[in-house]
Amino acid sequence: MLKKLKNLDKSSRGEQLFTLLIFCIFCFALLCVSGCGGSSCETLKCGSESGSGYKSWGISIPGIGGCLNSGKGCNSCLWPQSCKILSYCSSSDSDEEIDESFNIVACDTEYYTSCREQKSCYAGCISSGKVTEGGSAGVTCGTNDSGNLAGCVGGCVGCFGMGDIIRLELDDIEYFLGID
Amino acid sequence: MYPYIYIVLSSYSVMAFIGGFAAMIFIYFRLRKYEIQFSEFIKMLALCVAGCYAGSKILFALTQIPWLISNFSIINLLLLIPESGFVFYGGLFGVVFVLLFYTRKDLDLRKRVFRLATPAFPLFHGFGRIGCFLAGCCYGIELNQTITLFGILEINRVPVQLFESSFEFLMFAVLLFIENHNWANDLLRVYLVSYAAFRFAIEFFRGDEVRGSLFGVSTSQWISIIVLAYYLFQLLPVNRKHGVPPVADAE
Repeated sequence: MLKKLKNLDKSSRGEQLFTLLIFCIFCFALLCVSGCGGSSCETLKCGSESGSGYKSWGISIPGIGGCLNSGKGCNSCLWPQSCKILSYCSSSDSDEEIDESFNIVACDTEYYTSCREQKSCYAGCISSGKVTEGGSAGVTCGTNDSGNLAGCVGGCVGCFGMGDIIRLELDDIEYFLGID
Repeated sequence: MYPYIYIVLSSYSVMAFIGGFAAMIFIYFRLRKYEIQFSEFIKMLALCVAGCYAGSKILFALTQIPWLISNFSIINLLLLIPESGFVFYGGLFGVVFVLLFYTRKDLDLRKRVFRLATPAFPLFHGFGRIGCFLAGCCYGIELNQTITLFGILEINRVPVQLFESSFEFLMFAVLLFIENHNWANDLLRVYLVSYAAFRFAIEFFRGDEVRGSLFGVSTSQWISIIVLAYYLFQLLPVNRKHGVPPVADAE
């Protein structure tokens, strides 16, 4: 190996530069593989699934980082983030006693504040079951830890704290559609 | 059929690649001037990459120890280094340590190597910081008032990455000028002292939450203080009398 390296001393300038280029590409590959566990590399993803009684689709659009963002939304300079727009509609069989239909249309913005810390903020419309029979419907928004639903829940109208229930629901749908 | 393959590359990695390649080419074309063989250069380069990688990862991981303590699990422990980002100071010290080790038996080679390689440090880092800007990491504090450029771009944070990148390119030019005019023997000292002072100041404008801090002073500022104190200590008359040699001047 060392002898082969010594031979490089006598090789032409072009060969030496080519060796350097190969070396650089190797380092680049190392960087790509190891940089923040790959989380800094968001890709364009879309997916759709349908079956008996449900239909869903979603798209994940990679964002741009830097400081040239609008300052709106999550109001942060973002680590390469993704904006996920998704829809999930399921209907309950008409002969079932309890209406278990679930519909959601949401926009979920995810971003990284560090290599491992991922945050998100979402907004959307949601309905679950029949409102007249204890279901819920309204407009929702929230972050990782907390969420709110403005509308009707269990027969009451108002703004309700939903904790991380909707966040977890969105995570499940994104995973299901392959856009997480 | 799958006629196209789409590859997504992170902008940080691309800029690091450009910076690394530029630094290598810069050194390569000056090897003859410093009478260093290409094979020797390749060996040092491989060691430097390993040192840079290890140093930058380890220093980042060290700043994450409080997080590890509060979220301790075997998986978190094992993933601490692979999932860590890169820290410039760690990488720089990794490279300096490796070069000091490699040239431990040949002090003349050490002098030549540091003189040759030092301007490449800011050249690489200048591109790296542009990568940070594109990736959206290492960002600045929020501005009191949003600045609009060309009627389209809204800047709502201090673009510290671009400031640092500009400083690094300036340092590259200055170091090259000093080297060409033989104004200073120890280019590493010139670079480290300048960078430490700049970094200490620019850290006040950093707005990212993830960096470690102690007593309200960030890790990078502590390192800057140590670097500046080290070189100030060397300037003391007692050290001058006994001739404590600077890193790259040791003969």
